[in-house]
Amino acid sequence: MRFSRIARRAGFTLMELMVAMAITSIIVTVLVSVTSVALETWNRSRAELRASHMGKMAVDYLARDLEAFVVRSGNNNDWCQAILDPELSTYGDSLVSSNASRLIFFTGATDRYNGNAGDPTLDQGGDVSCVAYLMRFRDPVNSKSLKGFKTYVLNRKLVDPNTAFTQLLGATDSRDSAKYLDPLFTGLYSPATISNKPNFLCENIYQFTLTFHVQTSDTTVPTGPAVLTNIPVRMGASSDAVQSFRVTGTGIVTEPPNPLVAAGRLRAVEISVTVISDFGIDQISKRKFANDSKKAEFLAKNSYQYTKVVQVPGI
Amino acid sequence: MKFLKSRGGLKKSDRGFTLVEMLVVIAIMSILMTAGAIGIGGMGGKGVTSGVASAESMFEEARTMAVGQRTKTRVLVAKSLTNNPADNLRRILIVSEEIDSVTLLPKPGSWILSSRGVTLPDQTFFSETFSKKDQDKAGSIDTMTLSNVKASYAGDYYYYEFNAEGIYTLGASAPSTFVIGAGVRPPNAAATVKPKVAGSGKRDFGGFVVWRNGWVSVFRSPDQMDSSIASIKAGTTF
Repeated sequence: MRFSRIARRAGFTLMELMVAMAITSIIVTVLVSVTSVALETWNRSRAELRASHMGKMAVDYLARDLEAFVVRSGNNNDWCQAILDPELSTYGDSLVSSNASRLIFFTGATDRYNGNAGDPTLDQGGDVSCVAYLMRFRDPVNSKSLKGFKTYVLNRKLVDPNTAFTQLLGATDSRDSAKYLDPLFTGLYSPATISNKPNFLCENIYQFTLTFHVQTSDTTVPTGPAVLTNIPVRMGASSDAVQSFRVTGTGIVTEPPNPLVAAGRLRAVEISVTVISDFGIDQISKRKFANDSKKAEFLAKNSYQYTKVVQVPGI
Repeated sequence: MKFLKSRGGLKKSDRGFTLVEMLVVIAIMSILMTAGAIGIGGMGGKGVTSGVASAESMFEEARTMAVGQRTKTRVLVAKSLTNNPADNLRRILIVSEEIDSVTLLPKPGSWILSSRGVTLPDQTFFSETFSKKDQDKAGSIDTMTLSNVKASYAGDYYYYEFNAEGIYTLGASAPSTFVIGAGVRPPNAAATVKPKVAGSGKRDFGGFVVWRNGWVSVFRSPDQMDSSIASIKAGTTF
């Protein structure tokens, strides 16, 4: 009796140990899953908040610049040039952004001279700056790191009025294709320079589409007075869109050409951006999707779209 | 089986667990819990994630304030406080440039406190080594002295400056970085005593870059911060 009692007290059976461990692991699993769900939700909502913030900010920047768009008529200069970015379709692995354009135009930006406009020591005069928007696919934070986190980055390069005047404004002349705004600008500032870190505007941006609203008189109506109509001209790769849109001092030039638009006047620009959360960008490169609609569904769930129509000052 | 056989004579062990049994179960439980906790904790454990979030909001507040008030603002990180060494590398404040009430022009060099600020979570510190003025070069953040404030706030600070357009002026050529880490530092240590990495190393760091346009991008992995963070060892100062 005494012997067996001591033996019993000295330890416990394998069965007891296993049961204890099983119960413990169940409890731990439940705890871990509950906490990690909460943690992930918090992290994800923070990333989503940041993404939506950035998207809104990018649209605001574009809207502010477009509201101060500068165009003078009666000359052969280029004032605005939007070109479908040929390089973009080569990036992005599983996330190709096809509609983005490189947008260059003259504007009265308030942050010229690094925000020191009006300071006699830093302001070198003038108020017409040139601004370029360009999208690239890279790691915004550390381009050297191999394990970097690549994402779409929208860049904004502002050329101060003194340089814009001497090197761009007077030098463009659309009668000569070598003096179009885009080759002039990219000759001075290569896409690599425009996407330099100080020109960072917004990250995780996936779609960046511009639609130009052109007011023109419809001459296709055979009888009666000419009717003013608005023609939306969307930048894109598809056949119903244009690949290039230029506003010159004498009219509008598009590629493919459209005689109705050519005689018209730019009234408004519609900006549309889609921003994906960090989680979405990360998953889309890792996950395998059964078909394109499943992928589109995932994208829609993890992205935010912002659209704004900006009235452009008239000539 | 053994349990059934011994039912007659072993009333005592039937009634409950022995102390040893309880201890072993608790020990196993804590081992499993630790394993679980390690499983949850990704980058930026131990208060780093929440520290980064609150620092991020301070930068946003400073930028918004600069644009709203049309003045320069600075985000300050305590470097060496005269009367409150416990808050060194942990207290973050916002100051704005004082506007002269007569001329309505800013008074250069005169900074007034605009926000009570935040203190980083316990055991997390601003990293003097990994926070750089120019992300790609050596060299730390600029410093300034804050006086004419409450005694507990007076002292030397690191600063990040925004101008009236909300532009982060120190990032004209490259973005600056803001890095915090979890570590240990003796209580009331002098400002020269740097905190040390306590445990898992690279997971204990987090932060963001501050762009020229005044916005920030949070680091997604230690590789983005500094190449040496990936292989940092416990006991290293930061």
